Amino acid sequence: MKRRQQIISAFIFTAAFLSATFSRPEARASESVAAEVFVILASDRDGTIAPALARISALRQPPFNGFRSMQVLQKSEIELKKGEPVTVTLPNGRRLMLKLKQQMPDGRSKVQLSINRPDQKDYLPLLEVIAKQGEPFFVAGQKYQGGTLVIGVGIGKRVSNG
Amino acid sequence: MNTGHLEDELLQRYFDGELSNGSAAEVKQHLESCESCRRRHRSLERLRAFINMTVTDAAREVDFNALYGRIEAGVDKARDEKKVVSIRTRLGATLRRPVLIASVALAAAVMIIIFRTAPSEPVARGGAGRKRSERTVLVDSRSAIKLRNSEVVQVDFGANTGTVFEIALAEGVSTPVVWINDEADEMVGP
Ligand SMILES: [Zn+2]
Repeated sequence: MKRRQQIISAFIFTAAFLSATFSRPEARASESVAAEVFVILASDRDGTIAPALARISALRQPPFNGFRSMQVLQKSEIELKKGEPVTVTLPNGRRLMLKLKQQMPDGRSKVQLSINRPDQKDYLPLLEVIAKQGEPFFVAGQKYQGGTLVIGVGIGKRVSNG
Repeated sequence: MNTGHLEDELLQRYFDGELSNGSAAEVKQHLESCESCRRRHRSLERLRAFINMTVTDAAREVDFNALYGRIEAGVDKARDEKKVVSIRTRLGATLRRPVLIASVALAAAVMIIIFRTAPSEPVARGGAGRKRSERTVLVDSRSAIKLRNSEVVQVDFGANTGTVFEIALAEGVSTPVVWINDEADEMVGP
């Protein structure tokens, strides 16, 4: 039993050491996380799909693959600090609020999101998502310029400005 | 609790914060008085820290470099194609390290699971039926190496109606979509 525990400990330490050697310090800061909000205008009108978007796998699936044109209107890189809301103004003037609630033990981030007109709170008052790092989730359906806004929210992009 | 040590599963559930206040207090009390179980608890902490580090690093590097490279390419599509090419090259270069880290993490997790399931002195009070759940405990728990998908915890559509659904991206991988049935007037400008 003792020997077994020693082996396990040795292995964990070796592996953790290797991992620490290879990982970057900022990746372990747990009370803040980088995020990105990208806004796509999707429409049924003839047009082009930005080639880059066609390679985001979620956008190749129904219902998104039904649109005949897609263009990126806006992209915002933000840093979320726990409990501090960050607001992004959308092309239609509504405000998207994003807030980091909690870092989960499994590495995912619990975030809150809302979309509202300025000083109102009846549009999408609350959305709470436990987001996997690196895989965007989507909030879609707002009508805009004859098309539909598809908002992708990615959590966990590394802060790269050093 | 005072007849033996903490079962693996109980300890794991305590570690994951899944126990009721009462049960958690009992476990905590045992941990305070038992060095052996404290060591097991500490090794869970080390394992979790290690897996979080490696797996999230790997996900962050691989997926986001790719994704944002693509978005960037979309935003800048009017520019020449050189940029896209250089993003791809960069991606290829950064891929190797996370793959290595993920491999080490996987190897560590597999070995730890093997060690945990090897025959040993009985620490669990349960009978043979317990064995199976012990074996799966690391795989199924919060500290598992498998990356869990994003999930919607709650949504309030306010004055609208809407739907939440998932898009399957690959085997066992999906991402949620919140679709607002937008009945409101289109809004331009605040
Ligand atoms: Zn004990």
